[in-house]
Amino acid sequence: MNNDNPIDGTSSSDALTHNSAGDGGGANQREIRRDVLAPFIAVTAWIVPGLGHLVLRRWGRALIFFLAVGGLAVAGYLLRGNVFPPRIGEPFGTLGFLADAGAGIFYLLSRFFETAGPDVSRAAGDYGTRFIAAAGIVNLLSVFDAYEIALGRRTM
Amino acid sequence: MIANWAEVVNAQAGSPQISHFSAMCLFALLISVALAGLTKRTASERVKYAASCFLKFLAVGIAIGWLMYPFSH
Repeated sequence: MNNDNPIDGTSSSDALTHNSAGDGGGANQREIRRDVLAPFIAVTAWIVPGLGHLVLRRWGRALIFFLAVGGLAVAGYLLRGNVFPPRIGEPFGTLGFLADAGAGIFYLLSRFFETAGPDVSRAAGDYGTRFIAAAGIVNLLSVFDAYEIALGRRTM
Repeated sequence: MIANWAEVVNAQAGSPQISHFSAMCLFALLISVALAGLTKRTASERVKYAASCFLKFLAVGIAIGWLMYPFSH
């Protein structure tokens, strides 16, 4: 895996060197380009787990995050975990929704996988709820990671 | 197609059966893999970290289970 950043065609270490050397317009343009594109990368990474890393050519991470987030979410749905709908005014429900929605497209796919609806009267359904929330949290971690890589703050 | 497949799985499963230990293993495995991907760079480092993290998840889970055992009686 390389450190090339497709946003500006440089490696992260190159970019840092340029920035610290202050080579004028080129470095500034790259900085602006990164600042503009990094949020786009973050949104992409949120919508489809791993896609942000794929755009950044981090193939390994892209595959790992897609499989981990997808595996957690689908396992949670098949265990008939509870999927929190968007609801305002209920703190725990809102937190649950934020965690679940972190899984991006997998949150929207819940209705296809969990046709029988949630069943938290059994332990399996309760586990499923945690799996779904964990999928969202893991994806949010991957979003921050992709964002940092896109900004050139993270070299690994 | 996905919807049909999911309906079949849901209908067959009805009440999915999974042991506490299996659920813990699956959860620990997927989270370990994600953390390894996030924190390590090379494949060998990731495999080592994921294996280490997975075993620690299991060890801590089993230890906490035994610590709670007296309260279940």
